[in-house]
Amino acid sequence: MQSLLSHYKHDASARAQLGLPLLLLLSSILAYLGTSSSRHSLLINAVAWLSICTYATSRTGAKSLLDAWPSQKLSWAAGALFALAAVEERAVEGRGIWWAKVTLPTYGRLGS
Amino acid sequence: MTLYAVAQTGIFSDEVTRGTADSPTGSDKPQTAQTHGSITPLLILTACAPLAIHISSGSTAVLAIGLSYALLTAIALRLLERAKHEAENPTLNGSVIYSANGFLAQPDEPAKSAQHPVLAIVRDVSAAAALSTAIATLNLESFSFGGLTYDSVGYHGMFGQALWDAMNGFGMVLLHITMLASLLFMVSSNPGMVVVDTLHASSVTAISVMRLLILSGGCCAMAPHSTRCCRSIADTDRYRHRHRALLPQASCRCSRRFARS
Repeated sequence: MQSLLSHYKHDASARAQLGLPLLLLLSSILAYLGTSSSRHSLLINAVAWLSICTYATSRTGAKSLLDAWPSQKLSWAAGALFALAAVEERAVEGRGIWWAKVTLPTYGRLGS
Repeated sequence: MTLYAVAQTGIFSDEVTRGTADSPTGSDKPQTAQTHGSITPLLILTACAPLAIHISSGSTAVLAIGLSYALLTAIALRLLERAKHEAENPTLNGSVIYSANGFLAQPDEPAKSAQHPVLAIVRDVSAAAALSTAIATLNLESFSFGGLTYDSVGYHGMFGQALWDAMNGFGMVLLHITMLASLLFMVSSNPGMVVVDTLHASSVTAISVMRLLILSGGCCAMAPHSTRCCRSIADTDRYRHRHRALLPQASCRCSRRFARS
């Protein structure tokens, strides 16, 4: 027999699995519509990343880069790649890069 | 062809099996994710997008940049997933140090980071991305906000435009924060990468449809005098002039003003 706590955990995770994709869908649509006409998408990206970093640092605390764990190195590499992708998106601004995002499922599938 | 591929691909039927603590067997096996579905329709769907953009634009540079963008994003998401796995299983990462007396010694992780491994990953990813994007911004973008000087007729007009630009920028920053944070937490909480990629692809498809609607002047029919309408018409004219694309004519009174200027 499952406990009440496990029931609550299951409901919360199900809600999160439904809510996060919806949040991602809505926010990406609105963000794209808002920044497609402006020429400052990199600046907006930088401020957004900095805000997320500030919040996460306030919750977890700062850590020295000298004694970095493998997970930390992977995270830094992922962040740099995200930024590089943003620069490329900025480079073709006006001509659209939506079609390239359509190819992401295949990359993810081939990599798994 | 796209509809056929989406219907046949099976990417929406991901099945994730997890060994949880309250399972009947109570085993502590690591979590495994299994995905079902044929890859052929997915490849068809993927091949259609570059082919379509190559036929319509004919630019090899855009094609190369787009494919490179997708590859970089996919690798970044994969690295994020691996980082989360490494953070949850610190003994598997090969950082174990054997001391002289044969005991195992590991460097101490800060207590707060150990309590919130996902937040620690989010902190590192966002720090690297913020640093890199800030450097790119300083090198690639100018800080002369065009709307502030372009529409400055008088003091009130300039102040109103500046206020509008500031509110618009703040709102866009908030939207990007929401988008990036939800993406990071989704990758960290869901083991199936295909789900994330599918959502990403579906969102950009919806975005492209809405952008086409805007470019065709659908919103201008509702609010012909709005600043947004005039800006979109100006962008459309600029785009048409630059790329000689056959975009539908928008019915907006502001277009006459822009045509005159």
